[in-house]
Amino acid sequence: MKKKIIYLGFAALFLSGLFLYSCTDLEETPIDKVTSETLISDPDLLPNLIAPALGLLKTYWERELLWGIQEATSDELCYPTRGTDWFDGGVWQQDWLHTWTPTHRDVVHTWNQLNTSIAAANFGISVLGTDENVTDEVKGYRSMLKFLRAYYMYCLIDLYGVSPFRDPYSTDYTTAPVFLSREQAFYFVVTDLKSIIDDMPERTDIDYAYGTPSRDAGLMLLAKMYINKEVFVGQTAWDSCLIYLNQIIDPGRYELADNYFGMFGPDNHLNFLQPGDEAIFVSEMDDDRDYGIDTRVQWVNQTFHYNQHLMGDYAKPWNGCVAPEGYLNECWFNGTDTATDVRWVDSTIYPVMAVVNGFNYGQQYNIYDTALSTRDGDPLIFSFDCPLDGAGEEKGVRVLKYHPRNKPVNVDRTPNDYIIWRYADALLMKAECLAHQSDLGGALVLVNQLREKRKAPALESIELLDVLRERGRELYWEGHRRQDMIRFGTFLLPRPLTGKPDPSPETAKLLPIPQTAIEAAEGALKQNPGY
Amino acid sequence: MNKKRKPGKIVLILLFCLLQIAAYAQEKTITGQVTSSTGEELPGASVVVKGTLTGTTTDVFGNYTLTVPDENAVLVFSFIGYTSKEQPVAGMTTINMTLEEDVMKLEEVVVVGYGVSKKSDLTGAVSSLKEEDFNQISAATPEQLIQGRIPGVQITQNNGEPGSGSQIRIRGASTIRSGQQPLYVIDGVPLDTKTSSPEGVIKDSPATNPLNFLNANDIEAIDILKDASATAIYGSRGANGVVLITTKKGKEGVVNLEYSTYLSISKLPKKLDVLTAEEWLKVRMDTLDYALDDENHFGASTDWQDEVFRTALSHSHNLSLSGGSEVNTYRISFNYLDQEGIIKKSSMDKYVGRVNMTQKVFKDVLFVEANLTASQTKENRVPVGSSGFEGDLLLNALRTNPTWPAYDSAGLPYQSVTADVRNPVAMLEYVKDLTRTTRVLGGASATVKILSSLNYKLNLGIDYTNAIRKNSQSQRLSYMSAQKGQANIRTIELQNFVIEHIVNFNKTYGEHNLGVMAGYSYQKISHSGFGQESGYFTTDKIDYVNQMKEGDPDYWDQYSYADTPEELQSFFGRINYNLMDKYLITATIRRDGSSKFGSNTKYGNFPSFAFAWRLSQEKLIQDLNVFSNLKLRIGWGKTGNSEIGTDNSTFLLKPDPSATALMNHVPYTGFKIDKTPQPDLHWETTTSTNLGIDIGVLKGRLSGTIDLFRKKTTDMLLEQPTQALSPTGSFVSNLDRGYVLNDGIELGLDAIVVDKSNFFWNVNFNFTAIKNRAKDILEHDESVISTGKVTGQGLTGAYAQAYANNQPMASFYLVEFDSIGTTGRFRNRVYYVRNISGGDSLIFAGTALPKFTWGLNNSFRYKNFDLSFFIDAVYGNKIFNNTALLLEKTNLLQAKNALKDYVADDFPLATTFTTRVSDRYLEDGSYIRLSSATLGYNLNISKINWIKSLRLYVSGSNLFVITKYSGYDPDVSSPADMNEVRSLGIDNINYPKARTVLFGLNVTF
Repeated sequence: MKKKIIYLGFAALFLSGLFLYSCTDLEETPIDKVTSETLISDPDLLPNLIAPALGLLKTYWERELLWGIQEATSDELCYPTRGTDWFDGGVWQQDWLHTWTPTHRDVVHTWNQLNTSIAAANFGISVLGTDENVTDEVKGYRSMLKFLRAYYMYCLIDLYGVSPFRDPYSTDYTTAPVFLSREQAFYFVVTDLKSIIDDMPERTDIDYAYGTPSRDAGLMLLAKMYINKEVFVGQTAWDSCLIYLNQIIDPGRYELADNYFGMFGPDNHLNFLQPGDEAIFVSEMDDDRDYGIDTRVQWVNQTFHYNQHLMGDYAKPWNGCVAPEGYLNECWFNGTDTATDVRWVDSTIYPVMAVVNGFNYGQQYNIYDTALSTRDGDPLIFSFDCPLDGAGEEKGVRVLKYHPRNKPVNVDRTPNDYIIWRYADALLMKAECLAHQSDLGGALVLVNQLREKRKAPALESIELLDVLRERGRELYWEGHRRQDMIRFGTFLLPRPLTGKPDPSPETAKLLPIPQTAIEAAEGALKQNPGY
Repeated sequence: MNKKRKPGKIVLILLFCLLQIAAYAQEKTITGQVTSSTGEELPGASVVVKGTLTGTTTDVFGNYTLTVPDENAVLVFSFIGYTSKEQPVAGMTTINMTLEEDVMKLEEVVVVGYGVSKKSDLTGAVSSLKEEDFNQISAATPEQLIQGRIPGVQITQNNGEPGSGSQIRIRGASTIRSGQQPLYVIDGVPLDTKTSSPEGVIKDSPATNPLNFLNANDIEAIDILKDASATAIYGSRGANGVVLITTKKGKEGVVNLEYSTYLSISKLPKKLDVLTAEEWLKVRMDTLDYALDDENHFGASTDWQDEVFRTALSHSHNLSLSGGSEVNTYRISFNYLDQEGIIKKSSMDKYVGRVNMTQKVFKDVLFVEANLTASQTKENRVPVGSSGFEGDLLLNALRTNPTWPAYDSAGLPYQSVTADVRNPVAMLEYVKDLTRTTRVLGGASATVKILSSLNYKLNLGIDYTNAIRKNSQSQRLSYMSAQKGQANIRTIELQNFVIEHIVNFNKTYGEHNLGVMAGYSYQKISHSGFGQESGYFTTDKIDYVNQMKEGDPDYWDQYSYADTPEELQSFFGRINYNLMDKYLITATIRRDGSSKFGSNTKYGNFPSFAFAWRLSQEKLIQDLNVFSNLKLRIGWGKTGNSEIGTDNSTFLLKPDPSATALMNHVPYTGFKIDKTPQPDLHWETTTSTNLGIDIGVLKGRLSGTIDLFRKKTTDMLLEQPTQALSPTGSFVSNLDRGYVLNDGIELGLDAIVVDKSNFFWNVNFNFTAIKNRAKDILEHDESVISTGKVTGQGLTGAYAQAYANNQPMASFYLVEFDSIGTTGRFRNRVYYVRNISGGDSLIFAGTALPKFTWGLNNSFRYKNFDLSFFIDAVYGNKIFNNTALLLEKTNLLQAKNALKDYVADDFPLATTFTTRVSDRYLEDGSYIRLSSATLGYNLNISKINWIKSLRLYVSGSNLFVITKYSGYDPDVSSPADMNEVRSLGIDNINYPKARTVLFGLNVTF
């Protein structure tokens, strides 16, 4: 019996030891991540705080996001369905026909990306806090984050007519955010921007970092808000718009580029503060790394034919988007001289790449001057016409604005910095405001100033829609067209030459709100009319 | 840890003891035969000299020969299911023994969670399969051993690749999300279900089997806990059922050296009927007006399927040594398998070693058990799996232009200059993909008998897996020439540690028997991995994976990760109360805490209750003299499914390269919020009710089990979009609405039709029907949760399945195929749907879940021959044949091959045609299959006293299948989940299942 007690004693001791060893509070101990406390405690990580919101800017210039939505829904770019290619669940045809649904891939994707970007800005804003007693450096970063939030909200109200807003200092994500109407968001953005605009760095500041939003970007965003105020809020604000445009134009910090396509070249960051620098707000790119946008921001593959290998590096472009016939007629074959206008065709890169900057049409060749054929063996002659559906592979004019390097580092990447806003845009916006204020003479001077630089014959007279046409020549495929057409009232018109015989309903000026977002908001978010 | 002697040492000591006995005894040889009271010979019965280690087992005819030390020896005869008998030798040299069947023959022992139970005492729905019931097939991994055998358990093989895994569904599909695997417990160690298969070139190629590391020959029994009253003891992991695998141990008094081997030959059962070169040219000329000298006519006539498939030879060797005494047992086994796949170059080598020992210490006070399995598998995989536009090996073998030559004049695979056409032979030749998986599973337990009615058990388990996958694609591939080759090395490391303390109490007070079990368990699971990629190599004369650094540095890529370790802490208990052997009550409770759960819901309680009434013990029923067994069972319980990721407790940030911003050309990597806190995240709850009856009549010759059940799953886990402006896009959370219902009936029948001394016929039948539907899971009846990814040209984002209110799980949701339309364009109604403005209406067109399934096994024994064949059937399910969609006649337009059936239809072909998801590709997946048939012969070796038994057999598996399904095989499941929503029944380019004939030999010394 005694023995048994000893056994039991040993057993109990052994047992309790094991229990102590194995009892747990079930707290998680992450080993490949950190908590936010760790991050704030290190001042060297300040730029890394703005990086998520700023870095996301790179992602928008692809065919399935903001750039694609602004372009493929407008008259200046179309993704025709070619046999089995480019059908993709009908998204491209829906873009062109304005028949998108709340589950349209890019409608959903763009909404989500803009929400993610605002959340990323909120994250930085929340970490930097509200204290006014901080260094200029902190203030600068805070203003940039608020600018970025404002920019993404501007994109949201432009596309969807609504913008979610969430107090960045609260971390309860289980409740729906506040959904600001276009009007509410308009006033929030304008007020918020004005409060931080003087904290934003000037481009000429010694420690200004190229690629970050400058004070001029803030001014341009205010101008964009006011020029669209009629669309957003129902009231015109040409005067307010001019106030901010003039703050950009009048100091003379910018001038029109002598070399139009030089603005878009692979090393266009070298233009910064050089004569002819037009770039007000750029999204910096490089081809050193995969930033998650490999094959996404892609100017060559998305348009050129399968057999156009340029200098040989492009194994098989995707034969996608074209400039539609109606747009070509409207903006180019009427309204300028394609023989002189430098924006139409620039053959600088032709000897190396066998394609031109601008519009590529007619028989295509390779660099050995051999005429190219389609995969069926027919001559590869890009035609001006192109049906929306069932397009042959040779149909449609192809456009290149951001040309690649002579020797690409990686064909899936593009080194060209994307210019979000530039000086010519500001000038044309000013012309537009003047035209609205019946100062057609003032508008004509500005437009002709630009046309002279671009070697287009001067206009003798001008009407409001001529400003839109000039924007179509100057800013084509730069991600402005949908907004411009809505503002000028031409967005809904039929496009009979490319399979859209009927006008779109008024409600097509806004995209539907993704079904997933409406369901998630649990009643706080209403679908736009017409969907 | 407990100190214990090494098993190897014990074996040596034991062998030494045996030798001693043999050398010094005054030997006397006894022979005889052991039979049952009905005259049946009893093979495998044990004959031991009482009080010694000397003993033997009877051969297949019940004969034995035993050398006893002296005249005073007493022989003990025993056999499972029979009452043991003793017989003094007392001068006899021949002792024949007749054993009486134990009245409690049904007292088969069944493994239940944290213990065992007599089958007669079971109150829950538990199915148990012993070794002799297993499917007799080659290269079997554990689940293939029981495929089709158990009512309520549906097993679908992913594909026919060596080492491939399966989808196992126990009592229907109870949830929407991907995590639907049952919990596997091997000798008391719950496994981690995380895949150990690093990703390959073809991203959607299915993961290989997590149970592959086991040697099927080591498995003694597989017990499946089906209803909640049985699985609730596994708490938050019990909802998908529990599979308990018990491995073999040594037997007391018997030394067995066993060797078994087989050689198998496998072939592709049928080829898909694509056009031959001649037909292809004719069709293209007739319907598409191509000229004979068309540029796509290359002059050869190649059957690409013949080029990639082969007759595969496999062989396996299995050696085991086992034995034991009154105080200890041991078993050592080693298995080698060399399996070839029916696609050239694919193969698997597997080595499994296993040691198992038990030891009693301090006169039965302490019982120690230990086992160790170490395995290494080496898989040579081929690039097969649903893939992008260019296609994998198999799709190219089906659709490549049949006029292409397979090889060029230099004998190298013929490759075209256009990169998008891939020669499958070149893919075989120039792609290397090797996965080596090393796994060690160790378990040890110590049981202390504190009182005769009370014991304590400590159980420890550790499971470690390391898998490395090396993959290279040569620059000789036309589509790799630009990038000059590519190579990947990826590894995964998994660790799983478990410790359990269990206290057992069992006491009988008169007519009352009370059993109480209480336990604590702690488990920790960690995953990590890393990998690297390189490209632009100078030469492929050195395998790329051995010269990663020599690639272009611009192309280098690497990653590493370590998941937050997952901890599970549980308290559990069970009470069994048995009154007069008539009324049985079981109640269990488990309190499960997991680090994965949200901070407000760290612990969940999972109770169960069951009652059984053994009517056959009632005088009234006994007087009827009809039933040898009659038992009613009713049970209820709650279980959980916790297949969710880690990191739900706090904000976590991670540097994210995609959040990198350039400032002055300097990249700054942004921190991104990786996870936001999910304080209320918890398990899915499945509440199930079971009503069962066990019947045995004709003295147990006919027995059956019927179970009716209802399973209701609530709090379903689903990936949901976050509220706007959250730092993350979606999160997994519990649906606060709706449920999934599974109502089912299961039937198992076992009949001994003939039981004569030289002829025996046993029939075994099972049947399962389950009705399944989702209720109120979505706010709007029109909404769906889509899944079932379909691939094909222009079909990015296309899907074929959906979950919706009032629909069964994994329903097909697509447009009805009507006709092509007369104008050559597809007008509004559909062949190839253009769902541009959402105008085409989609319909629910059936589900991938069968209406019912059944299995029928017949085994015969006539003298020395035995024959068994097993048929299993699935009825009423649909399969979306994505493979057929990829082989649609539109392929002819691109100079590719197509299926004859589709070419032959009436619809004209125009250049504008595109393929769309429609029910044109939806097929009936019902089948009846002769899964296996085995003919064996036991050699009469009673004259050779050093061989106990010798058996030769020939066995075939997948011998024929009756089905309307036009693909390779209706038993198919390609990975097609979207957003972690479970997809089933999509056939998208699968490694086909083989037909196998196997010649085997088992010998026991």
